[in-house]
Amino acid sequence: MRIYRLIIVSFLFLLFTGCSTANKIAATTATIGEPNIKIAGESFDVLALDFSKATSLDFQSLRAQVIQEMSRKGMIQVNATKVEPRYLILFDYAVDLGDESPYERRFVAVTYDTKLEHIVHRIRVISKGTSNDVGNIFPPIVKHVYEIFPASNGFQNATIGM
Amino acid sequence: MKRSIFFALITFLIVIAIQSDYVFAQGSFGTGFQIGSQIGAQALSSSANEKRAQAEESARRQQLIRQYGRPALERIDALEKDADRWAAEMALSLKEMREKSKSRNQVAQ
Repeated sequence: MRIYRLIIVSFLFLLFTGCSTANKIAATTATIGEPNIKIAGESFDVLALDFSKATSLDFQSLRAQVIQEMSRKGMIQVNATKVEPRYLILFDYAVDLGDESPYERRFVAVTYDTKLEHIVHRIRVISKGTSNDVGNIFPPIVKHVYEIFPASNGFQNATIGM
Repeated sequence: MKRSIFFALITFLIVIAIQSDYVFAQGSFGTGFQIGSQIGAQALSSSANEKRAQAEESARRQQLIRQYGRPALERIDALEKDADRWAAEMALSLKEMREKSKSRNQVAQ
């Protein structure tokens, strides 16, 4: 009887801890940024670094997420075809769809300053894991990237929640 | 008592390992689990359903590979290397677009 009780308690514990550890992404983020980038109150627009993805639903969804994260930081999104923004944010993403896991996933984003006419911030996230589902993998990576934006130079290993 | 604690501990470790994407990423545990789950899945599914699912999965994979797969990984590297040029070109083309639109509006007025 005591054994059964112990087993039930163990399974409940496993269920709880399992839920908390599931869907975590181990990622390495590399950032190169100029110091003192002013972002609050500045205008921006988000575009595809890989033009072939510009109309894809995945890109549009991630773009909306970037806009949301940047707006949260006090930046103002404008339509770059009508008004010149201070910053152009260009990003791209890819996953390895080979037959063997772990799959490699990459996210790259650059921030181009239209006043200075050069890139002021670059960020690259490399991650490996069992999932290669673009729709599940990249939203938490985008969130992570723009939460730490504009991080200064360096590498950081992070476990990102999905 | 000792045996049940041991059993609970082993089960705990296995569940944590298979649910953790990070552990999967390290290789061995993930591979073992995958082989096990593949055998289980094959035993459960009927052959007709299996074939259809395989064909669908293969088509989906081909579509994804074209869009996001290994060529996309290579492409992202190339794009990243040339990001300065792409960003500058993008800014320039947007500027031209704005100017054209401005002159069109002026002509219309």
